[in-house]
Amino acid sequence: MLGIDEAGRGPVLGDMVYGSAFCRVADKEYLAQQKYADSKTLTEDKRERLFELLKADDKMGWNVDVITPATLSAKMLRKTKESLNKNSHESAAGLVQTAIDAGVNICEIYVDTVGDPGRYQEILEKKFPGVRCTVAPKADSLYPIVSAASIAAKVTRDFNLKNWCFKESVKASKQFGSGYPGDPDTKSWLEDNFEPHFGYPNIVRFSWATTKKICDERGIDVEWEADVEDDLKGVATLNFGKKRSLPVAQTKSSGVNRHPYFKSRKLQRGVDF
Amino acid sequence: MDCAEARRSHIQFSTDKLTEGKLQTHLVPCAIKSNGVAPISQYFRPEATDQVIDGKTVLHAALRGRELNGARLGVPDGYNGYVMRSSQPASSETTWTAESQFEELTYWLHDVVPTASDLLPRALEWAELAKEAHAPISAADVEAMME
Repeated sequence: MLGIDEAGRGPVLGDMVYGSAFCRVADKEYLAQQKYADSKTLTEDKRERLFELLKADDKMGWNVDVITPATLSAKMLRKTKESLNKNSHESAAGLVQTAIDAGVNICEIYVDTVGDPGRYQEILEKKFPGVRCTVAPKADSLYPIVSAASIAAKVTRDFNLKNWCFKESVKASKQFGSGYPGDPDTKSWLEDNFEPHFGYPNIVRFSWATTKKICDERGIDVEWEADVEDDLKGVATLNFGKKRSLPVAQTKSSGVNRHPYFKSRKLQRGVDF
Repeated sequence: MDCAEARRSHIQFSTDKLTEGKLQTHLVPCAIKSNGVAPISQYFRPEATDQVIDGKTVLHAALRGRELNGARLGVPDGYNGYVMRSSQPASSETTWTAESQFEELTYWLHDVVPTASDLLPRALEWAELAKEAHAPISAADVEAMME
């Protein structure tokens, strides 16, 4: 059986980590005797010790999928936006697949829900026919296998955040706090490290409402072609059938007689600058 | 705009105003509503990927969280790239002054990968063709063609 849980879904910065833990169904009793609990109820120290135990345990297996803030921002800000839930579901399915590919025979999956549990369960059951899927809220405190997964995920996220290596050559502090938008440390980090053109280094999730708000209020206005195209679609429809005005002067060769060679390259003669 | 109303503009290529060296220029798929100095080399870090399309290495970068794919384009043979700044004096005349030079620019696309059929590389093809189209034809050339 395999349990899945996530860490760092809400924070405005840092990785989102999906973790899995697995063991034999026959070892259910053994697993229950271990001290795995919902990672949120444990201290950092306790979590780290339990993760060491998990790593050393022959009866247990584990894995993590790290989704960087850059990947998350990129996917959520595409022309066809990809929701956070979709990313989560794919990551979870990916962890199951990795375990199967590694030769683990999976009969039962336990997952803490993201979005509607019914929908999530349906996705997993469709992808892994014959596997009994249990998708439930609070699974991380209900099923020890999910608790173990939550520890793997949480410790990995915290470790990466603590040891974050900026790709950008910026002198930003690493006093990120928890990364939750409400955390005073996170707030002051966001306050102190803003750059009006670029916003933030790529540790920050640009697709978060918090980041958008700061960029709008304090940043230089940036207008994306991808967003403008969407807005123009409405305008084009409104102008449909409007009588075209006659070309007046040929200062620009944008008229109807422009050769296809230039039209297809969007080239036109310019006289005014 | 009517010809008679056209604003007058000058282009000035005084080399003494040109900064030393060649610039790294980027064409991004967005309008940044600012005209000043920005810490580009600190924040904008293009990386070469393993992908090669139409003979060009695809570059990867991010800007305000958006994923960009880019390719380098050389300025066509016989041309120079200039970064111009316009002065807006009280009169209706505009003077454009070359501030710096570039030999190569990187153009960036959002979501899609750059290919040889993108508008910009295709537009620059005209430079090569224009040379042929505007080359003087001698009487001997015409006679040769007639035969």
